[in-house]
Amino acid sequence: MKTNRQNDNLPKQRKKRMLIQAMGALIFNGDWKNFINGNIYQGNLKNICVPVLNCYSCPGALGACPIGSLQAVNNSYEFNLAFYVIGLIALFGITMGRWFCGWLCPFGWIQELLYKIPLKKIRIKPTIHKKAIWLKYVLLIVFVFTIPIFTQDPYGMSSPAFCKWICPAGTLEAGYPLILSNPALRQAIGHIFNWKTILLVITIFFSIKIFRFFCKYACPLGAIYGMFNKISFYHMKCSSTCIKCERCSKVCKMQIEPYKTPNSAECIRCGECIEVCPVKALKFSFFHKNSTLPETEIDAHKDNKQE
Amino acid sequence: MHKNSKKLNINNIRFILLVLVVFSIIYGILRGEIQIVLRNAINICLDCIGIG
Ligand code: SF4
Ligand code: SF4
Repeated sequence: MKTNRQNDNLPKQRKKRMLIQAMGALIFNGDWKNFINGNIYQGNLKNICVPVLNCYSCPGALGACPIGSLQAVNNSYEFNLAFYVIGLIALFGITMGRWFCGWLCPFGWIQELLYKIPLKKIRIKPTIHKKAIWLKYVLLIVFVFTIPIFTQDPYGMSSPAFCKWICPAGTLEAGYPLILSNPALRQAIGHIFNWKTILLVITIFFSIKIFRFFCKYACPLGAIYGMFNKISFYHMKCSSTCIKCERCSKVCKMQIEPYKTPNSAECIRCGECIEVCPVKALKFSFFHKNSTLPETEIDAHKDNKQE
Repeated sequence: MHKNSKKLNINNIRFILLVLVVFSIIYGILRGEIQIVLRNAINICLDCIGIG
């Protein structure tokens, strides 16, 4: 009985999260009139980075994209390292970790909507998945830091490499809306735009087949937040009442075993595992009462070593 | 390994990180990074949309 009741909560939880994600996308991109007139918001709110991957050239964007800003300062004539932006991202990470990915990120939400398209789904083999998740860290180091900082021209400028060559969020949220509504920009389309369109199509295709394909394997912001998941104020605990039934692992679309690693860098804090746990062993909380890493994390390390 | 060495004091790590982060934000603001963020965010980023 108890188990059924808890499984009933899962659709409610999914609906609630979808609603909050939709609201996040609308609020972060709230200057809607720009979608018609082909311009972007230029007010002072853009001093501040939003906690999610949301291109600041999206016509409606009210804040600055943290990954775009990181590169903008890193590759600027004036500075080489973005203390303000790194500090803000770290502040978001320390407080909530990847909760922002699960509940507020517009591009994460778009991927989840794509995943709803009823086509055959793929679950990548754990051995391949565990290697592929490192790609986002490579992209972070190479395209967000190394290229912008170390490839500057004689005037001290370089390009925001991740935005320029990779980011499908920029192509979808900014490139296409601006090109469709601004004839001057339409005339300037070249081979980089074509390359980015190919990457966008690949991202869309795999997002239909694989849950949050871009978040899992390519998002540099997800990579940074993931590093904070173990120490963020908002974290998950697995109590000793866990009966290791593995229902949480089966429901988790980010391919985590929450009862072993509740604070995995891949967890987007969607809360679905909590809803299906028959003995309520998993829960979110804000403060670590005993000042140590949750016991299950330590157990998980033991398990991993023994494997 | 000694059992106590596994007990990472997570609250201390968080506190130290929070202080570092606040200093980092203040330092960045004081040296004018915020203007660069604004300058880039209020102009259409041709690189971001694939035209630059
Ligand atoms: S991983 Fe990146 S794109 Fe995905 S939800 Fe997090 S910030 Fe957004
Ligand atoms: S571990 Fe739980 S909260 Fe984290 S992504 Fe998986 S189902 Fe969601």
